[in-house]
Amino acid sequence: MLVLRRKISEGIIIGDNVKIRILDIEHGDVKIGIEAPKEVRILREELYKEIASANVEAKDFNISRAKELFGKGEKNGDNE
Amino acid sequence: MEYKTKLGVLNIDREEIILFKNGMPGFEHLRRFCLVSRADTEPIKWLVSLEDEKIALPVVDPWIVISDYSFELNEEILKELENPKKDRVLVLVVMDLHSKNVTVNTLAPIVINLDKGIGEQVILEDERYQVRHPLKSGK
Repeated sequence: MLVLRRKISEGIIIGDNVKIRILDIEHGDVKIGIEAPKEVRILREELYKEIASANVEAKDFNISRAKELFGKGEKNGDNE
Repeated sequence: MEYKTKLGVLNIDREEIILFKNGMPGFEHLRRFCLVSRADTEPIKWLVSLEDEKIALPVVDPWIVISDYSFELNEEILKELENPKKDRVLVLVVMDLHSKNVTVNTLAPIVINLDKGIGEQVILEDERYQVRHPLKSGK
């Protein structure tokens, strides 16, 4: 991993068309501006990880629960 | 062709294969899936990996959960999906049947171009939706 030290308003250029700039730093929060082509996907890491862990948990399904969940035998009047 | 899958041995035609070019979050290495319906679990369907027999995901029509569910697909995602026709797009959300409370991931729907057999799990930026959206009713 490349590690760089940057000050407010300084930037980094990655490849030909991605620019990152440090806009502000306050109480440990860093505000970052990113310029990149539309097709470059930019995501908060924790959101991607949350979706990945939800997918991984979903694979451990209990199939009998799937059979019961919308079970026709148990109507719960509120949808009817 | 026969595939060993989490739901048993399935006979899958080439046209039934759905290609996820980038995999899915958590399953980046898996590309080929197929959608399986089983009468005993309807309306829950199964997105079954054809490459890893331990992987299948329960999926449902999101409009079962949120009647006014909606989102826009941006140009880049439409390009990824090879410009599907409007009426040939299938949208599904992954259901978690494992955790104590059943939830569906309405923030990251799976969008499939039915004509081309291409799928993608799209990550929305929409505060109305969440990764673990609880399923209503007292279950």
